Amino acid sequence: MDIVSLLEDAIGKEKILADKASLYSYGFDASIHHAMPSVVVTPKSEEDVIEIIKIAHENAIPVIARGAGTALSGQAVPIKGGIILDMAAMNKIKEIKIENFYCKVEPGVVYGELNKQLAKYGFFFPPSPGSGDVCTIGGMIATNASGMRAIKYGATRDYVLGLRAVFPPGKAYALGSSTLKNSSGYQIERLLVGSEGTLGVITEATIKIIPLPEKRGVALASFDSLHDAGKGVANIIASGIIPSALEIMDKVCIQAVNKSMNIGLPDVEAILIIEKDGKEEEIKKDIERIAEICRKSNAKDVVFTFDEKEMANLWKGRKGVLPSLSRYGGNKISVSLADDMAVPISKIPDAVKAFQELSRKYGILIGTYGHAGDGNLHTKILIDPTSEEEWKKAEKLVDEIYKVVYELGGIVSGEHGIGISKAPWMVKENIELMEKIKAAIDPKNIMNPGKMMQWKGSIITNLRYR
Amino acid sequence: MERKHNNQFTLQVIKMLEKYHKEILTCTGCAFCKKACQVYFHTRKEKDSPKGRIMISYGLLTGELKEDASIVESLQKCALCRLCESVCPSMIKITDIIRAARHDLKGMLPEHERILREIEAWDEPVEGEILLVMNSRNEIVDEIAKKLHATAWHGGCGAAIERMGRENKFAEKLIKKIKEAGIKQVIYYEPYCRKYFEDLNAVNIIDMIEDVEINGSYAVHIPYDFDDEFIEKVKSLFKGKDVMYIHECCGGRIEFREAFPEEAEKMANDVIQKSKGRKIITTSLECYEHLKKYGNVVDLLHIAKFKG
Repeated sequence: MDIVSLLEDAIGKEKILADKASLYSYGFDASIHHAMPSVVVTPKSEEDVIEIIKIAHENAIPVIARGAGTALSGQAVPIKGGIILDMAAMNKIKEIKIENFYCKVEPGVVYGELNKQLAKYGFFFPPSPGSGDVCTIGGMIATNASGMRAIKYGATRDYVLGLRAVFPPGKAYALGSSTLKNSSGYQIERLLVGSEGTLGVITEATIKIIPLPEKRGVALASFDSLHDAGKGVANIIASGIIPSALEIMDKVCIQAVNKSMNIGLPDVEAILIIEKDGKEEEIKKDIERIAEICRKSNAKDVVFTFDEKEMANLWKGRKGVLPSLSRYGGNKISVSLADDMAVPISKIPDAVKAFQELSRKYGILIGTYGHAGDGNLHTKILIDPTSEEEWKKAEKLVDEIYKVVYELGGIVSGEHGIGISKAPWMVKENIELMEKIKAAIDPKNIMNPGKMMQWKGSIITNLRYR
Repeated sequence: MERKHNNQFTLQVIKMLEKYHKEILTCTGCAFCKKACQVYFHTRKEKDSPKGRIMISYGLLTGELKEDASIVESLQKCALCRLCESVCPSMIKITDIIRAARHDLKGMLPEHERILREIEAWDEPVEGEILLVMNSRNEIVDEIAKKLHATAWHGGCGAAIERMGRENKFAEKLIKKIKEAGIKQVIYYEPYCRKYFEDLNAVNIIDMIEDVEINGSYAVHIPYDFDDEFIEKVKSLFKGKDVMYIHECCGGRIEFREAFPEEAEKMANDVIQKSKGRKIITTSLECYEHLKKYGNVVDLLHIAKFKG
């Protein structure tokens, strides 16, 4: 019996997709890679997932679970073929327990939708990834996603209290708890955070939730030198104020945004956008102090606002970086390569400066922006994706970027994960232990094989561009 | 439902998609478009999302993907409402890409073949001084024609043919007839007809409306893909009145509702839900015919007070 028939018999024909349009379209996430699965399954329950994993295990067929397909490093691309598990249909919010500070959700619940429901109670789940309006909770856990508010609120891992997950050969386990504190053995639920589907399939998550802040304020500081902008970041952190976001944009990003959007960002070497949330009186005082710190750090100009519309306009500029870069230079487009390094906060100016030097060395345009407040930077590399030569050059550039990142005491990914595109630059010492854990849980290596520590080749592989 | 693939249709030699190569490459694949797509909302299948259709278009363009029934269905299962474009951070011309891909398709859905035959077979006298071009057999068309001293043409401008990816020869024939009959003025309604009548003395009926007669709370449905000028003119008619606006597609375009009745019904019910119990005013007779099956609906033309 072929795999499609086995799956149809086990969980029902209506949950199986094997047509060409489905197989092709499920071969993408938001990375540079593409590959076709053999079949797509849309489970509706944990029981379905158990049946699928049993069949996959018995027949040694790869299983790749995915949420909204917003991964930037190829985590959801089925490079070894196999079964794509589209978890989007498991999208129920099962419980919201305000009095116990948690909610229980299925993995396909969309982050933005969950926060919309939680806001009715004055609560939220803070990690705020850029893809928050579409990405799913399961995907966020599998990649330990976060965003610009991580400086104050942390990443997804800090909110996972418990999980239900299905592991090979097809058994579900309840991991962790619904309690805020838990010192009752291995924290296996945490092991699944950032595991990118290489161990098991999450079927339910218990997420810690916290009250929404009362108000927000935002300051925009412009600097004539990157060094001064970096000093500004360090001085804000040293002051004891914890912003709810502290973002940096370099000259390339500023110019790209100004070229394509009518926002009128200051045409300087670097800008910082700083947000503070909390009680109204408190944030007014803090934002004014932040403005003062920026001025003392040689900011050319500082403006701040508490007006919702004006704040939204400032954030529009920051959020417009990615699309603006893609339309910045002729036939060049922005591709996801080396785009998510984390460095010690104090090393941000050194990192950005080094990236700019490498940009000149390779003749490849790089725009750098990101979460300066937690040291997580995004470098967008602009190349002609149809040119083999440019990809080869870009791969060498990425290698040099990561050498700099490690020299500065940084790490390969802050919030996007490894997948394929960042695999060669993982910390080598950890790989052996990771392989041992994977072999113990998934002896037939069916769970998202070939990813993270298992990817050994060039990252310029299975390209989605022709 | 299984569909039979028919590739008997004329082979398109020039690939329209070539023009959109860079545009497709610019799509980062971020999937933000999914949150706006009503079709994806109901099916939750990647091939039914705007991103899925862009990727499928790219596969066709590069030759990595060969056309089959599932690909025709995926590309046609889009109402071209353009809401996805309103949320795309990369400002990708998503529906232009889908239209180009449809143009390049060899096969057609059986429902579309039938619609094409029916539109092309439409004929009625083109005479008098003023011609009222409406895509509806509804009696309102004749009532309005009478009010405006015009002759009614119920066959529309054939825009659906182009939306299905085929050349709109129907519009060419209609224009020829209009010219031959010495028609002095054409009045049309749906804004997408405008481009076919550019060489003629043509006016949108919206410009002939002086006021609207309503009492109470209403929800005005103006599809997002209608041009800004039309939307603004409709809004100016309701200035100071107790109305809310709904821009989501109701799934009422003929080629969409005939080929995908299940989704079209769900989308219509979504619009009804969004109206929060208010009576709906449509701004297209296609939407009116579709929505009235599910809720309390009138069209703008029913409540319009014409100038003069």
